[in-house]
Amino acid sequence: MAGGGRYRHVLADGRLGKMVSVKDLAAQSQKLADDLSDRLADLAQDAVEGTITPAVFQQAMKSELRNAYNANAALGKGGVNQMTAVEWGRNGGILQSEYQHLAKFAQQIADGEITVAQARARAKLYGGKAYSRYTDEDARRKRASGQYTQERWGPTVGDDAVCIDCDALAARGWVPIGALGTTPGAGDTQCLGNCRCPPLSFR
Amino acid sequence: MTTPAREQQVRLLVRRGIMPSEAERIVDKAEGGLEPLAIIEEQSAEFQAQRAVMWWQYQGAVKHRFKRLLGAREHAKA
Repeated sequence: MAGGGRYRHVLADGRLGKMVSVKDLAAQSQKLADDLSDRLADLAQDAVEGTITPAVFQQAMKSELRNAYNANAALGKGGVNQMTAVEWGRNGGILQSEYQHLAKFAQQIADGEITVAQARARAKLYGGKAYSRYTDEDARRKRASGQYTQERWGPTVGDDAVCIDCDALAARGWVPIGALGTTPGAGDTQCLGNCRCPPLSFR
Repeated sequence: MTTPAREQQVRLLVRRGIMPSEAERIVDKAEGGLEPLAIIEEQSAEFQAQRAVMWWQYQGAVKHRFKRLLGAREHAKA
């Protein structure tokens, strides 16, 4: 693997064991994002039902998103120690934009314009974006390494959640590096990042 | 709609998986009400400006280093 981004299992006696597979890393990042999506949906429901105020919902969402974005980006980059001002800054920029969407979302909850189902569905979208921080940093690291010439999307998980855009990107097969222009979970596809496509493959 | 009590909200956040100290901080921070979009946009613009300054500082540092390297090469040639 180029430019770091690999991890080792730590054995019970503290010694380093086998390398963690890329598949396991992606699965772990997806699990983090799925858990986050469920938590955010519960928080949105709490806010609509009035068990927390919209202001508490807004602050709780900001806190959860910041932690999840930072954790996923660090996972993609190869660990917290590998994170430089560039990656932290990129996270900050994306978060600022998410906070703007969130402010509108919280205001709509405060105004009673959203149902529980709508709030849950909307809150879950933020989880997909958190997953994209892993896939994006992973792809950036590999593109910058100069060791690869082609990239590929997918294969998709193949269920109903996969949108037409993800299917189309996966159908393109191997393309020159950078040609896809986006990464899974980034929200550039019709599913808005909820497809759970695996990170890009490189060769 | 009545406003839920502070302790009740902290407990609920903890039940949702947020650390107790963080839950307290969140509820305290939310006491001022919703953060208006205008303030967030202002913070965002400030953040982008800071990033731009850092970018130019970085470019300046690279240019300076490059000049020093060129100078050292010229000096070695002479």
